[in-house]
Amino acid sequence: MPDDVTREKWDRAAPNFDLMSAKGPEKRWAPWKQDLFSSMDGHILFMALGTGLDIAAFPPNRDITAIDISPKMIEQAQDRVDAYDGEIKVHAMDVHELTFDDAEFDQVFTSCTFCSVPNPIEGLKSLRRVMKPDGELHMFEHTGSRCFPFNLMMEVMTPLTRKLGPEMNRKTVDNVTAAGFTVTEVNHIFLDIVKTIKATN
Amino acid sequence: MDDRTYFAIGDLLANMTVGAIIGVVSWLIVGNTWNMLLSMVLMSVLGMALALALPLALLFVSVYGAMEVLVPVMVTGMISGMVVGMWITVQNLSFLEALLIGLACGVFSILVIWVVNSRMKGIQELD
Repeated sequence: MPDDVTREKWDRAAPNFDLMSAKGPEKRWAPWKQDLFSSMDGHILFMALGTGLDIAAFPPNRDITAIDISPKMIEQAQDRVDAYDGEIKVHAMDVHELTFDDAEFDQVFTSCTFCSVPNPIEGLKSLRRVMKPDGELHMFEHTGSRCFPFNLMMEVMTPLTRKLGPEMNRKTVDNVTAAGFTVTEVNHIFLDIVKTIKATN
Repeated sequence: MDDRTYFAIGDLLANMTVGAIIGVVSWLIVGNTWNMLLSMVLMSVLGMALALALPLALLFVSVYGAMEVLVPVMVTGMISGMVVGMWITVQNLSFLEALLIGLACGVFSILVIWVVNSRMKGIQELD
């Protein structure tokens, strides 16, 4: 069943999304995103494209399939998609209802995505299905914290931010494991909140 | 501490500003007849919530980063509210003193977070 609530939430956020995210956060995270995406190789699925801010950190000459649940976000991303020195095929698609074949992709990349997927473990299982048996998952995510007072703050923020988009208290590393992946690397970038996660299928 | 000057200055600026504002807000709210413990608890919670709610915090987010701004300014709001709220119950403070104490709380908070972050960041040992 289509997740209209999530799609509508991100459709509403699309026109002003870059106001909050395009400058500070992207500039701050650029070195780590460039490092993570530098390993893009083979048949790649990128989830979720948003307004395409991550494209600036993609290495050139890759053939990338990107999805996003929000058609309005994809509209906003179009100029960045067109400007990419490589190929990006974009589909409006919910991670819970991927229409790709089983074992289609060598690698899956996410960027600040699983803070917003309503059923993160099911979403990750869906990604596993479309990944090859030895496929790799590369994630740049913000998560909840295990340390006081940061964990308290993430809990306080979540009811507010949930209405606008992301949740701040997700246990994404645990969710990756729960979905059946083998986590191979967790790299903390800011406290234990902003991190990269690498896992294999 | 971010080794890029732009972000290091931004972190300091955001936390000094929010700390000073929460210090002044605490000065406006708390009276010198208040119970010290009550004042500390109330103003630390209120300071944290206000730091998140300030439009100024969102401005700093848009310019300097998301979590790297929001989390420290919430810590700053909590500490600034707690310290100024407590201080007023034991000693009369002027507007300027409350502002400067709040500002100092902002500097203290971001310094502590830089130290904590330097210990937490990097590749983690997996269970």
